[in-house]
Amino acid sequence: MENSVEVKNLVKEYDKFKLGEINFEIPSGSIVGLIGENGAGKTTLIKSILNIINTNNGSINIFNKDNKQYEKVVKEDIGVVLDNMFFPENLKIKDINSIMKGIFKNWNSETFNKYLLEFKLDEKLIIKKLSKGMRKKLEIATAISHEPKLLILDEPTSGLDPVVRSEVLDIFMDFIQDEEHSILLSTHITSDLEHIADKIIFINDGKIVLDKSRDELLDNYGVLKCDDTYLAKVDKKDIVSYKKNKYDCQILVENRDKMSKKYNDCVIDKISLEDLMVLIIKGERV
Amino acid sequence: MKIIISNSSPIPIYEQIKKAIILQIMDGELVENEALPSIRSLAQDIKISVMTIKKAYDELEEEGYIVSIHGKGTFVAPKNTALARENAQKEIEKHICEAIEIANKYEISKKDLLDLIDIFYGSDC
Amino acid sequence: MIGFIKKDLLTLKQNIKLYAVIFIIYIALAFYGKMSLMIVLPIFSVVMMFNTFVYDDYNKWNSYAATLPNGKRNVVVSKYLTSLILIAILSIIVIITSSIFSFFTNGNIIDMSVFQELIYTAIATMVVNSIMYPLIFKFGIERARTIIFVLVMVFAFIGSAVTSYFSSNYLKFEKIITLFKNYYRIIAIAVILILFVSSYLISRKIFAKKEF
Repeated sequence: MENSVEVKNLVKEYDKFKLGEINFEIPSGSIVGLIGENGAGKTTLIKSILNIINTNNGSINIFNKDNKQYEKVVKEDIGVVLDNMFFPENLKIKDINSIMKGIFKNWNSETFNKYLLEFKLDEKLIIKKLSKGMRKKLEIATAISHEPKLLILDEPTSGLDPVVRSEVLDIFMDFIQDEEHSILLSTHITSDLEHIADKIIFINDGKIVLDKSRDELLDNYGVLKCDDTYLAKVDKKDIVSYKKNKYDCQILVENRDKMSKKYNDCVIDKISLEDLMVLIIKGERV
Repeated sequence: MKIIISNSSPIPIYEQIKKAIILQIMDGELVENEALPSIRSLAQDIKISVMTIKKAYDELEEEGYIVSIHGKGTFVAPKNTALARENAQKEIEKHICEAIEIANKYEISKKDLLDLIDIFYGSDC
Repeated sequence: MIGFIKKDLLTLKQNIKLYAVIFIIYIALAFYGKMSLMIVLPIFSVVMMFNTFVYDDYNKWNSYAATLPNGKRNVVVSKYLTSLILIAILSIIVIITSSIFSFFTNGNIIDMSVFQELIYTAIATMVVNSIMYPLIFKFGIERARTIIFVLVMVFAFIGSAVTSYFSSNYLKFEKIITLFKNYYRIIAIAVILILFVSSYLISRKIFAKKEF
């Protein structure tokens, strides 16, 4: 499979924060979810890919082209939704259509209007008057109407109610019906990603902690629930990390099936991305 | 085609999809040469990642239930009774092993186990 | 780039009624001879452009724009071009209004002195813009606002000092002034063009280095 995006040895240093070194790929035709705490470096990574911040090291290829050298060509094929960054909000929705016509070669007014209709957005409305959900839908409609091949979305579902969220996920699934299309989205609402993401990249404190396919992650990891005394008996090499609570103890294990045979007198649950995130960030190691 | 997925089940989602399709082939709901939805459209319809569906389809093809013809799509394979039998046997073996494990754990003899099978065979269970 | 210019013009269009009301007040003041109609040009173009910067800043448009094809470059180019477009539009409005004025006061439709006055005012407005924009791109509209205010005070002080020096030592400069008398129009235009273009290039450089 070809890659839409390849990030190699990326480093970005700030005074108090360092991102990197980061290496990963986005295969064409896939949805890649970027998860991590606020401040873990998700937005910095996205901004580096978009070349709107200056990186200290590394290279980023988008559609096999360097993202700096071929910035203009590459950006014609990218649709972007950034958190809290958009058009001046005293503009009308229909203004976006006429502005974007003068920005993207491939801007398609019909597509845009089709999405407005689908999202029940009245083109005469002023952006300022939109609710958060409507605004997000407008941002997505804007990002997708120049027929991009890659969507880069920073927190596209945060602050949305479940109904709108599922509508938004529908659009994403629709978008990747084309095998050349791919999506990179960052989020801290991990449940959105649990089913639709093909690959999950977990970033913590500026580094990639996990980069695995959804299946590998959710079918492989498990959480063993036991008490303190049992924890002492568990083989050290089976423990990825653990967290002691007041009444129980949770141990993150790999190879769930094998482990539930080995420790057949306790519960080993399937793990959600959210719990996995918590156990890796907050859990202790042995 | 029907596919019902349980999110709380410990069975991996690709396994659930596989099982659902195999069951429908066995029941005759999906007939020989019937076209299956494409990986991407199925992914869209059941809101499951493309790679998960692909894994299920790949394994189904490996096991001979479906065939994918490049550029045309994926179809239900001609019914292969020998194959179906073999798969059924594998499934039975797995359950027998489990039964034996439980028997050993509670010191139930081989004879008692066989007796149990005798009793249940033929009755509705 | 056209999209970027459109964005600024459409942003301004949203407040067109307010601008129209203020314009009418200015016309009234000018009609009663309280001030020159020319003042409309610098005040409106500077204030309107300022407002586009404020709107951009409030919604972090620049960060979003940077993700668009040629975004960083077009943000800068479009501001300079929009400012010229505004000056052109306002000039036309001023010409029409003053033509109507002179038609009612002395029966002439076109007063050539209006054109001359207009060109000087346009040049002065371009000077102000050329100084302002790099500062805005460098420091952002909020901080630039303070800096520009301080600069205006300093310029006013220096300006009045220089004028008073000139007027008291007029004879010393007479020679130089007569030397340039025939060329000062060309010199003024050349200077403003160089100033405008270099201001643009500086802004480009500042903005290219900027992180979002």
